[in-house]
Amino acid sequence: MSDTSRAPIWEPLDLSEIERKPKTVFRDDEFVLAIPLTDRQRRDYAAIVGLIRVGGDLGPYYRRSTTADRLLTTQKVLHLHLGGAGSDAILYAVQYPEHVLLVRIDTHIHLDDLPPGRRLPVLGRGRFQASLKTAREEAARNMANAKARLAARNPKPKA
Amino acid sequence: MKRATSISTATKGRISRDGAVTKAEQDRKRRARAILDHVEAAKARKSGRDITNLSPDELIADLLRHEVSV
Repeated sequence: MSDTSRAPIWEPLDLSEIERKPKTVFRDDEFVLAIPLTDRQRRDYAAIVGLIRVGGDLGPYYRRSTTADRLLTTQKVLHLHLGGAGSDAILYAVQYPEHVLLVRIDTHIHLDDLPPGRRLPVLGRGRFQASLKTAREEAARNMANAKARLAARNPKPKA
Repeated sequence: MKRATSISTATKGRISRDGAVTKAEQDRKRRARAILDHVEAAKARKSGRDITNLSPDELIADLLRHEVSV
């Protein structure tokens, strides 16, 4: 897996699997459960969120495919299967270096679309990314201000 | 203190007679900046919902609230 530690936290990753490190999970403002789920699929959804939180193994929720995942390569949206690898209940998500944004639960429809993902909402994703960027910049500003205050309080002794 | 750089700024009453930017103008800018920061922070808070620490039951309840009939 490539090193993503230096990527800006607001930029989506194009990895086909969620990294095995703890991440914060967000639900998109425009998130929709578009299909009825079985009890097992609902439990899988809760299990996936829990596994992302602790950086656990999500292997059972991926389906190995020999064809390129064009939704991932074009939109940076990955997908996990609820209720077993062959299931038609798909959790669409976007992965960031420190977060995962859950976008929608639907059938394979968004993978099969031409172009892939054309009907997936994008406004929520855009706002989410902007909020990550704003929060990071605010944190950097606060850090710089705190350092400046500290430096002013404890000036370096003259040589 | 900043000095006025144009007549148009002076004619808007934002500088004093001696050409310095008035305290009132500085305060106005500071308030405008604070409002913008507040709006940006509000936008940041509204984007997405953090569901990391919900229990499995809470997650499923939250999920079902977003079910739409197709």
